[in-house]
Amino acid sequence: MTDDTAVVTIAGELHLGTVAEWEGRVESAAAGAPAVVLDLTELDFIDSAGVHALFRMVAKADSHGSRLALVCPRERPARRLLQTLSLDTVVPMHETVDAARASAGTASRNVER
Amino acid sequence: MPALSLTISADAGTPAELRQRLDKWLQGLGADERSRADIVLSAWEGCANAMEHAGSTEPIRVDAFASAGGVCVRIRDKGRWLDRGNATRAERGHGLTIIRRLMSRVEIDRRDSGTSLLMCRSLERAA
Repeated sequence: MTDDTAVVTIAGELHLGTVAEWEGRVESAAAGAPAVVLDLTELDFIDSAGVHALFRMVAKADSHGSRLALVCPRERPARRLLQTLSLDTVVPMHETVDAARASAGTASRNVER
Repeated sequence: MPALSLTISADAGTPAELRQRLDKWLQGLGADERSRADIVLSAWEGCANAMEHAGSTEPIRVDAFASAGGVCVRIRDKGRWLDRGNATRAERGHGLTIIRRLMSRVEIDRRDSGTSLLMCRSLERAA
């Protein structure tokens, strides 16, 4: 089975000053992929502008018909803010890349059926 | 613990200096990791608001000081938080929503000479 899920890592800081750059990187890395996993495991800092950029990435994936899943382990500092701003209501959040990959891949296959 | 005072360029675009200096200052007060993260994020959201909406190129001033049982951070800019920039109204509101959720007291003082945002909360000490 071929796995054409794109896994994109956002590491470091996602905030007002870096959202445009990250959105560009994610868009080119995810282009054409039926399923996209955004790995936030190495994200140290995120602000409200960063969370809104993630909302936009989810919307963009939806509009392209691709399925997006996030990886953000519970103990990571970003996790609480993502939940505070209810990002977890629009996109599934996973502990590991493997779990997210399985979820995004399965979901996209389901959509095709 | 003496108060912390720093200025941030209105076009800094990065919380790096604020994160480093405020976090170190809060560590000096014995604040636990979660309190430090909440306070640093709130302070940055205040600065980001000023950067986006103050309509001023004057530096943003950040003062942090210990208060009875907690800490306060005051963020002052020389602008008036104009409605501008690309963010939607909902997105703009979220910075303040976060601050209000993470801090116990928030006061905004808007004047012709600038905007002052005061945020305070109690501190959980590291074990």
